[in-house]
Amino acid sequence: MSGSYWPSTQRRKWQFTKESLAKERQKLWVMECQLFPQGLNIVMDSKQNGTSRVTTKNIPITHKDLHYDKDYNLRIYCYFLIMKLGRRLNIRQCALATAHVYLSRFLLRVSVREVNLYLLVTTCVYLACKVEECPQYIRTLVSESRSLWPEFVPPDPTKVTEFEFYLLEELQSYLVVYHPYSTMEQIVNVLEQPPFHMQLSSEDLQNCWSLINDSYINDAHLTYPPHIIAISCLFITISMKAGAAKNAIQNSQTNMQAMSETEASLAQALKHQEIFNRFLAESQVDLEEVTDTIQELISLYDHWDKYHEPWIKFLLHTLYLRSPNSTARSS
Amino acid sequence: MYNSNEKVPNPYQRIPQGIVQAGGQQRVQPQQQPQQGFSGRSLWQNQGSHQFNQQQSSVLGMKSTSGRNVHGKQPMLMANNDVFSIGPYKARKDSTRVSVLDKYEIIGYIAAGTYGKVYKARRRAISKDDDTSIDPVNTEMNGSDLGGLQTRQSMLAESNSHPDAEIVNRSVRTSESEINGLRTSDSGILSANNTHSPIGTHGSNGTLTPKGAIFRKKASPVYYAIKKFKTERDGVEQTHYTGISQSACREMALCRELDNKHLTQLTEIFLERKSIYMVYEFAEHDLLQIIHFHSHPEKRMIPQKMIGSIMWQILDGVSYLHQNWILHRDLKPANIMVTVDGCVKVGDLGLARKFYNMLQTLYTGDKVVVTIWYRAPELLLGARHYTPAIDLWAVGCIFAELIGLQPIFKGEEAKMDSKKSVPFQSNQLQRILEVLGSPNQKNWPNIHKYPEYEQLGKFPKYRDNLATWYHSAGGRDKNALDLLYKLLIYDPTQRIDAINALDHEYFTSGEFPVCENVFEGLNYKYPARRIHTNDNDITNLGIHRNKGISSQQPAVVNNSSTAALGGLGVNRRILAAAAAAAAAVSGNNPSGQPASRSGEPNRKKRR
Repeated sequence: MSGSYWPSTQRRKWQFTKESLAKERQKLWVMECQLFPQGLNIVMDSKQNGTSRVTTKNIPITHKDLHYDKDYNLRIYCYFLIMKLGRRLNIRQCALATAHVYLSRFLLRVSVREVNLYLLVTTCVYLACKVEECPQYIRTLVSESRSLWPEFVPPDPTKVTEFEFYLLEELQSYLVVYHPYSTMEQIVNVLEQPPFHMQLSSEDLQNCWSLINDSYINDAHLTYPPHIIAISCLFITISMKAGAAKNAIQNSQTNMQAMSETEASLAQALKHQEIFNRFLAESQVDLEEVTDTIQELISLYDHWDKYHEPWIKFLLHTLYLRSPNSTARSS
Repeated sequence: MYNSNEKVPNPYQRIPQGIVQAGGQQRVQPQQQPQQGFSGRSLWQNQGSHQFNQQQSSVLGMKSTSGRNVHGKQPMLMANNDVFSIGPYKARKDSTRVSVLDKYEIIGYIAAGTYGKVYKARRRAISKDDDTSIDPVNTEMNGSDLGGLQTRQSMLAESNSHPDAEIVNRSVRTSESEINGLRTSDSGILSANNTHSPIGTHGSNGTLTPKGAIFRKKASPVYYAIKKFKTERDGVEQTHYTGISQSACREMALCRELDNKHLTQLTEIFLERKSIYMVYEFAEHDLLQIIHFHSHPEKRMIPQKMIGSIMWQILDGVSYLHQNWILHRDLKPANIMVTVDGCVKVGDLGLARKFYNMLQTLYTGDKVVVTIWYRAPELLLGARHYTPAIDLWAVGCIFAELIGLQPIFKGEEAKMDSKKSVPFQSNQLQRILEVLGSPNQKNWPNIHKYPEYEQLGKFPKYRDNLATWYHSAGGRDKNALDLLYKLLIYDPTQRIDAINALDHEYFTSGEFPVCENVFEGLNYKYPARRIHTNDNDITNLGIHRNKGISSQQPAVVNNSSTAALGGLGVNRRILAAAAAAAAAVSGNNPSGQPASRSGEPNRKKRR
């Protein structure tokens, strides 16, 4: 239902518990193991003592690489793919978020190894823009996406429109998606009112907004309602501010004036934390879900530290590409 | 599903070679050797020995090691055709898809228009294939509703292990509804169809769960309306995909979410062979047809009580839409359905859209909305931002039409000129002024802010004539007149909203109590829908056997870019409606139209 999240298909059809999500993933895992038992052969160049050597390695299918649920490299890469295409076309964040949800739903049922990820991203953005009522000309979209990833995106726009059908089928044509952005704004509005009187700076709001953007990399949007994610991101924003203020105090003990300023900001940050905690306690929101979302966001940033884009790019190239020479020889 | 090797082999293996590559338009790639099956080769990659290539050199900028670059330039690495066309995945999905024709038996079509066609259908008796195969769109595989999932799986398992149950199924050919129960774990849908009380339950041995698996000995058949969105051009089925139109997209997205007694209920969606099939519950009548029945050959007024019930049910559906932040934007008699049991259903959400958290203004998305005779004055004055009040205006026009048996503001639509600018609809506005009088700053304080305000100066001054109109149409009820006034208030901010309209004296005074069955107390029956069977192109799915016929049909200007574009700019459906309206007003209705039973400007126009 468009008016509210509660009777929506997002909640009724596309929201999983941890267990049911694991079950879905297991199904996909088994299928992937059956379809691609050979794993992926990669060819690596290494230079040793001036002579280059070619080594062929096999990444077994059971390795976490290229499994969307386990490979955070892949997840973060997908996030950047959507962002890149969106920035090029000035697409609003909301539509991109919808596209990201479509992508996560799709990759819950389909292996990255059997579809073209770049085409998938293009298609998700195309469909999401239509659903969010900001349609893009397909030719513009395809040509932008092609200029970003020329090896992977065919010039023919009908490849995207064809994929759209399969995407719709996989989504079971449940297309309306609710996002935490507006919920976040609502909560912020409530916090400004009595009895809370809490005014978040625009910088805080921006940080919170970015945290929400990042949350799409996780499974949060497949498992929790938008308000849980909004609250979790607000919580992190407010806590981080308090943490930053504490650090600032320790670092500025020489300068008296800076000291008093940071002390004031620390006091305010702590007060915000207290107010928000009270709001949370009174809100009857499922705190377990909130802590879990926070926990997952924190571990996302751990993964992010280890993010290695060249590697995932290399894997996808090996997976999808082959040189014209080999084509010629095998024919 | 896939964890048993014997039962489900590698889905790719079952596909004959041709299908995998059928989508390919580029050069034909050497086919992977099928006998190798899934014994150990990547579907994307070529022979293992050919994998020594220069991929990583372009990826990581390393030095190329292979000496194949004879010409000294890096060959452009391109994904192979299967990657471009997602071949293997398509093959896997295509092999398990259940066709709409497997599940539904098409009786004939009941309407045709620029959007496509609507067919009347009934569900086929259950077949073994149908039960065991996976229909990805239909099956309500639902992770969060684990209970439902298990129920469904156990039901499937049981019906497999009990062949008797299927024999029973097949012998009870007429009872479609139990298939509903089997097919959908969603009990909501079941109860919606559950209008006939169960006579007996199968399951003496308790094989089937009571939920959703109630067997009926005899039930009147359940019909469905299947809307097929047009994809073919010039009658030939499309050879490639055009993006789904904005209108189809809206209808799909919204209908999936909505659930109200007074909206047409979507049962399921099929996506196959480049077409979208939306399966709705069937409604035998619509208001256009009912009004026509009462006005031909001579006028016989629709009973007051029936009008009241119809109006209340329309308003209930509209109020549900508005509460869910949805504007319908195409309310008119042809889009208001009535079922055999007299339940009103607001239909056709192809122009509907959400008006909450909009990324673009309403006007940017669609320059023209609402069929001309039902278009609110603020739209005629060029409003860029409008509100749910436009739907209430249309409801007012429908109310008046139920009373007067002809459109109250039957204006002539100004045609779109070649520059694609939206023309000012002066004739339509004139018709409104003639009945409601000229608007002014007093009854419409913001009127001077509308883009087309200047145009109003060109009209002569009229006085309010609605009461006269009402009495000459045979109306006698002051409450009805009052509601009509409130629905047709010029100023959209003062116009009554759906919720308040439901509480209006007209419904609450008790003079004409609102009935659930709008036909209650009638001693006659409305004619059933006409069914056309001459051109059931849906049954030719993919057979292409009427290619010859198609050449006789006029070519339609429709280049692929506009088709793929969907809803950008002016809505094509509204344009078609304009053409039909013009034809109707000038009295030369295009002949041979199934939906041209009256002069309504509808877009159900067959090319």
